Amino acid sequence: MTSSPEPGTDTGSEPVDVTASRTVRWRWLRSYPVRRVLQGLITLFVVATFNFWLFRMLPGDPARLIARESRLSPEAFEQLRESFGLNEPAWSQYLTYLTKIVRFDTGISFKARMPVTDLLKPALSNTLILTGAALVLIFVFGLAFGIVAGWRRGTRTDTSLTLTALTLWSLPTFWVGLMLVLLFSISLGLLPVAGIRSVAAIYRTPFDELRDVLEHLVLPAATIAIVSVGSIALIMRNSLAEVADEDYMLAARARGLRPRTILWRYGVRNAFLPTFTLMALTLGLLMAGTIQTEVVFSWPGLGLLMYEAVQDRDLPLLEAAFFVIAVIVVIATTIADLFYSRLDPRIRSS
Amino acid sequence: MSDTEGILDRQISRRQFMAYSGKFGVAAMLASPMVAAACGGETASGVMRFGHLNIFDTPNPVVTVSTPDMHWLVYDRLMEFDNNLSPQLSLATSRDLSNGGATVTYKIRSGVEFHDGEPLTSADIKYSFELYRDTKKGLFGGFFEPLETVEAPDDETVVLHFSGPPALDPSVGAPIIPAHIWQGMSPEDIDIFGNDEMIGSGAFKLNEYTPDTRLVLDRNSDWWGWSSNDGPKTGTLEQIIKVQLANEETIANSLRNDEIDVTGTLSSPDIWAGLQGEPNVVVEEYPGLVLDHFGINVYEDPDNPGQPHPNSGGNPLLLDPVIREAMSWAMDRQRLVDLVLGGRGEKGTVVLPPGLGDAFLEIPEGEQANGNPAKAREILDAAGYVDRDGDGVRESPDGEKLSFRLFASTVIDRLPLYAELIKPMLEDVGMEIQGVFGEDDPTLIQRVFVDADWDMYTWVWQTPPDATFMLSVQSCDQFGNLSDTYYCDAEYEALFKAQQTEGNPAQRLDMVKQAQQIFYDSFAYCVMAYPTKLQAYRDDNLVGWPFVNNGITTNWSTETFLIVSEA
Repeated sequence: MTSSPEPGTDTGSEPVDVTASRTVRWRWLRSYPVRRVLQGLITLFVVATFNFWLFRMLPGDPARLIARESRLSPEAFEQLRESFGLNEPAWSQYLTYLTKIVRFDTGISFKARMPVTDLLKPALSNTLILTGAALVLIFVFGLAFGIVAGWRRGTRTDTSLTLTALTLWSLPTFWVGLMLVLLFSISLGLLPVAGIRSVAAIYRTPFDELRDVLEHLVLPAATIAIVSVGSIALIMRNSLAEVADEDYMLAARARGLRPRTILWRYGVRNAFLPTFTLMALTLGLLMAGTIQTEVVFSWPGLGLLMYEAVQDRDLPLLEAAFFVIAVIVVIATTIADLFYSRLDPRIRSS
Repeated sequence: MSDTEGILDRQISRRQFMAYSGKFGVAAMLASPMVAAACGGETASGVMRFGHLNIFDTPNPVVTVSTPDMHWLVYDRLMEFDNNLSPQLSLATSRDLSNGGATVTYKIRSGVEFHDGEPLTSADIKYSFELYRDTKKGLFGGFFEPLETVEAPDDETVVLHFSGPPALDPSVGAPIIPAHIWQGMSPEDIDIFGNDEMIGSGAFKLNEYTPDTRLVLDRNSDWWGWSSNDGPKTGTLEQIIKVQLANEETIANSLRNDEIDVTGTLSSPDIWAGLQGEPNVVVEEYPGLVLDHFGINVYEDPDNPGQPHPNSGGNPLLLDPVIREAMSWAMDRQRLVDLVLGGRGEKGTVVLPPGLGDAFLEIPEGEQANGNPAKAREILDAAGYVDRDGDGVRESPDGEKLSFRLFASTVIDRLPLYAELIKPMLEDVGMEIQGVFGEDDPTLIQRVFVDADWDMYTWVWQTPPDATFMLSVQSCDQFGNLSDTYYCDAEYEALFKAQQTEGNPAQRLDMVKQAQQIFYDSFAYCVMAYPTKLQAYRDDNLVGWPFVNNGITTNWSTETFLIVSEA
């Protein structure tokens, strides 16, 4: 389709295909990455909205939650409502809340009377340290077990590794944590029980502090890894077992390639796709699922902060913490999807 | 068997793989501590490491409602509680009463400075007390209600005018805050003031605070108390670090592992008992200021005595004291103490705990309505509450079943346990308990204190070391606030108010005991038990731990922090 300038209009240039230009200009909106990012933003909006209304459906007067002391006069309660903007209509509070999110203003904690951001920042970094360490353990051991079991499917090795993976997967997190504390902290005295640093440690060098943090990191990271490694191992095992029967594997063997080459170049590479998706999901699940581990080890992360916030009904803190987790999950899954679409172009075309 | 089997065998055998995997795992697990052992961790000396479930809610002393021990270390007070929980002079050097005890004149120490170097004068005290009185916020605001005016005639004199002689002078608890920092803030500003610098004039000053994680206080070497003429504090602690741990198991394990020096209150007798015999660990049991009770909704319409209040959601049958008395007889309190508290407590009777000493009314064993189901059945039968349809549940003469809802706070583990044990005791005498409904504190507070929509519930009160607070809970003025039964009795009310301004200690004690007897006879509360306070500490790092009434570290005295020293 073409178009021409209006009669009598001198553009002073060659005729332009306006429609084609528009199409080109907006085509990027239909591209997979942009669509995926927009989906993520919509998800975050929905999560933010749920966060706001869900917590306000809980029984109890928010002003009473802030006061946590019943001896306040009605005037004092009213003043608390004003201080925290709770005297406004709900829709007005909702709009203020959305506006604040856009400005990265998460409000004032009902309990600590401090900006929620000040509470979230250290907790988030501590949780990222914990989940990062756990992820490394999960993927190293999960992939190793999965590859061995999948490649040796039907053997005693496969049976024992699969059984181990299923057993670990079904263990309760808090129980594993307690057992590790009993063994490594109480019985053997090798590792600390709780926290991220020793309570009254003196650090002469940055290495001292790093060592202390690592020492505190071992048990909580191992706890998460032990209960999560099974899922990665099983997915990897099943994927590898499936691709082992593919024609291209047979062809590779027929070409006389070395077994190691067949395993890594043809087997693991093709079996890795579903595992990769699970890895991204695992990151999100870990962020939200560290609560039990952080509570057992008093690890001062996001999970422990949320645990305390639920007990205290600290609504601004809860809303912000859930939103931060949603942001991390959305970012992780978006990156995974984009990466996956690179690995498997069928995703983009669909 | 797969046709691919054996491929790995050519690279590495199964046994080798398992061995390598195991070694790698163990190495990863143990690498850090090995390195640590090689390096040898260093711990500061002269530090008290205090493990607790909560540091505090906020550094802001005006709005805080949590345990004030840390605030009291940072902020001076005119008076303080000593180890026996008796009020003693602190920042004040003298206290003179006039006007029948309604006017209190304090002289304060000279040359005292806040942590930022600004002088502390009577103007700061006047500002602080007027702020507490006017805003009525937080833990201390409510105690300033009888305060009418404050004068500061010179820099070292403060005169407090009360509406009558105060039974508990609020000067004992209220932190003195620096006017030069707080003045100019509106009440709204104060509500959201994080106070992250915590400038006070007390024995310790803030070094670091990470909410819900860690509070570090450094010794204030310039504090007047370290060199006071009237008995200097002898402690040598350079630092107090209070860490928040998520549960009591972790606290106990941290003490075992020498990661902390002292625990907060351990509410679980099992965890506390588990620490007995541990090397360098001392376990102690102290008289408590706590009562665990079973509260009954007795919200009556004042215009129609005997009828439920229109705002009450409770079962009207509970307005009959016979049913409430039968409940009290049906409860075997010794069994509750044994099973719930592991024997670490006393059977409950009156509304004040025995930790309050002389103010506690001792009900003779033979006069206690306790642990006698036959007596419960007898008085129910006599009042016409019998099981007419043979379903095991009694009915009122009007045919209403004695069927009730029992709620329990799930925040403290022992409260649902009490409820679960009480349920069969009440069912045994012909009452139906529809279920034990566990609710978290905010929900239960709304239900009981605001909506009045419950029949019975289990709850715990922790009292200051004075009778007034706990007696005030049953005051008619506290409907919608503190009252958790909606009890209102004219005779009790008169005694409660009179004791607040009674200057004669003996007469006041008499009034306090009469009020306890009246409330006991109403059976609006069935006090289940008075738990003792359980704590533990290590004796290898710090020495000089005192025996403090109500615990080595208490909610009401900071003495331990000021006299403990490094070993």
